[in-house]
Formats: sequence, C-alpha cells, structure tokens
Amino acid sequence: MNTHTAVAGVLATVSGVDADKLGPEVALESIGLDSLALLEVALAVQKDLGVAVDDGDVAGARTVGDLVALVDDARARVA
Amino acid sequence: MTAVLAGIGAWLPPTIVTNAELADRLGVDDQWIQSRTGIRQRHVVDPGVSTADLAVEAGARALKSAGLDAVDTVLVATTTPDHPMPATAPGVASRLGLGGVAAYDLNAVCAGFLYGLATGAALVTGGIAGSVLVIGADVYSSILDPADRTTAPLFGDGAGAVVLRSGAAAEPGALTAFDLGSDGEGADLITVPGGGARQRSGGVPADPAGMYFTMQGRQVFTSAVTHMADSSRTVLTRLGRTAADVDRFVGHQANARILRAVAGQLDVPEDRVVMNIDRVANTSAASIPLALCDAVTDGTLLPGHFVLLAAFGGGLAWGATALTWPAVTPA
Repeated sequence: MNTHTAVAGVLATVSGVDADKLGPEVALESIGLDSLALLEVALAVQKDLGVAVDDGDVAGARTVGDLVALVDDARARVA
Repeated sequence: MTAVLAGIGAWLPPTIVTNAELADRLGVDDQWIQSRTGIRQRHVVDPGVSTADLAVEAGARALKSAGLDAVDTVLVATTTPDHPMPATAPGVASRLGLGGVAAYDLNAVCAGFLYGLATGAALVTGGIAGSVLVIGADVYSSILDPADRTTAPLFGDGAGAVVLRSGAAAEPGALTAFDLGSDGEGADLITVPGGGARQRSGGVPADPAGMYFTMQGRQVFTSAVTHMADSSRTVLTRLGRTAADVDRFVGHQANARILRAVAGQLDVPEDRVVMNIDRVANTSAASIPLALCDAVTDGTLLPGHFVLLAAFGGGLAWGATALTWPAVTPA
C-alpha cells in the first residue's frame, strides 16, 4: 500500500476526518490531534505496516506529509 | 496443584474529588483531563487514612467472598507502604485476624497486582501455601505533587484483593499461565526519586520535590501499549488461545487511551474492554481487582468468560495472565 494512503487511513480512524480530506499539507493540529493521538497513530502504523517510527520524531511532525515522510524513512530502513 | 481464584473484594475511600475541583487549582479544565485520560473523578483518603486501612477493607471482603476466615499467606502489592519499614502486610494480616501467617509486601508499582497474583499462584502451585490473600493497595494521594498538572489528576486511592486456593487446572478460575517482564533501563520514567538509600547515603538533605511522583508520559504511553500487548500475546500463546477468544480484557487502568490502544494492537473489540478509570482514575496496584469487581457487579463480566489481564508500571515492569472467570462475586 502507498504510504500516504496507509497513514491517511490511520489518521482518519483516530481523528474521525475522512481520509480523502487528509492531503500532505494538512496540519495535524487542525484535525484535532493532540500529542497522545500522534502516539496512537505511530502505534497503529507500526501494527498495520510493520515498521517502527520513533516517538520523538512523531511528536515533532506538524503535517500529514511530515508523518508520511517519517514512515517512508522507516520503510526504507526495513527494506 | 493449581491456584484457583476463589474470592474477590475491593474498597474505595468514600471521599470523591471531581475534575472540576482539581481544574481551578491546576489551571486546566475538566475536558482537558477527560480527553487525555478518560478520568472524570477519583476517590481519595481522608487525613490520617493510609494504605493498610484500605488493604484491610478489601482483604476482609475478598475473604468473605471466598467463604474463608483464614488463609496461609497475605501478600500486599503496594508502592505506598504505610512506612519504609516494616512491611504493610503483617499488620494487615493481624487486623484481619490472621496473625501468625506469612505476610510480606511486593513492589512492582502499577504491575504489582499482576506480580502478586503470579507470586501467590506460585506459592499455591509449589505447595508452600494452601491459600493466599493477594491485596493490591495504594494511596497515591500521599506522593503526588498537588501543583503538578501532568500527574495530580491521574491517580486515585483504593484497594482490591483476591483469594487464591488450591484446585485443579481444568476448573474455572485456574491460573495456569503468566508472563512477567521488566526493563530497568526505563527506571527513570516512573519514579519517586527521594526518600530511599540512594538519596540518604549521599549526605545531602532531601529535596522536598524529590519526594513526589514523577512520570515521563510520552515514553510511558508507547512502552505501556507495546509491553502490555506483547505480554498478552505471550500468555495467550502459552494457553493455546488467541485474542479472538478473549471475552473481556481487564488491563491496568492507567489511561483509557492506553487501554484502547492495547485492544487495537491485539484486535480485541472495544466493547470487550473493561474500564472503570472514569470513576476511580489510576489506583496503581489496586486497579485490576477494582475493575474486576466493578465488571462483575455491573454484569459485564460473567462466569465462563475468558478474561485477559495485563498491567504495566514503573520499574519498568509488566505482566499478563488469563483465566476463565469463576462463579465468584464481590462481598
């Protein structure tokens, strides 16, 4: 699965916002995600995609695109 | 020989503190606390009431539930003992009319009840005790910094207890598999830094702030979810079961969002997750027996249900077990 599609799917579940409205430029804060929600997203991504994303890096993500980039990096390390 | 759960009881001090009462003092609002933790209120002791007092109330109810007036061992899991020395358990045993039996404390912080359950079960299985009263009791209001909004809203006081007796592995209530683990590399994530030999031997007077509970919330969140999920999988595998068999998941009630995330990792549907954290907050070693009592009382947990228990706490320490719920009700 494309990383953006996978991450948007997880974000949609956690935030309740439709996945097709979660473009790369969307600010995570604007969809009501607090700091715990980012950890929840990281754990869900880890389960769904089988890649581990660092907690500290996730806490620094500001947009959907930032999160996708982190997951892409993690996937590249696994590959 | 196998240890079988034969009785259960719990006790909460009657005074309730709502989020609204804390909100002003801490500069946060009710919704801020609820959305991050799932907590609406907590019970706290009145001045002068301590861990042993709660432990005696819960212990007496568990004995009554089991229909017993004596056991061979009393085990108190706590991180808020009445005194650094002696242990809290001998006094609790005496007050329960059990003077003379083996009695000792166990410290595995919020995983204390799970560790206590494993230890009590091992005493029965090993033939050292025919019956064991395992109590989880904590008074975190005595170690919280009342001005720290990151920790003050999270905890409540309480106690819960179970009685284990000798029985057969095929019986409901039989405890036949445990998984326990720890990671001292994370010792600083959940700690009361002062008051122990490390501070006292330094020759420096105690820093009052060092007597308070501290926690690194972000690291704890992820670690708790990962370890509770992994430990649960291990214990299910040992029992030849899967997460699909789990009728009820009773996890340590630290944070509603941690419990949901663990269930998500295990693919246990949310309606099978038992939660009472909204009413009692995190009661540390007391949380699992308190949640079990609530679930039995409100009809959520029924005899025959396959119930998964998992906990995580300071140490770091974690553990899990699972059992078929017996026909046991709180006294």
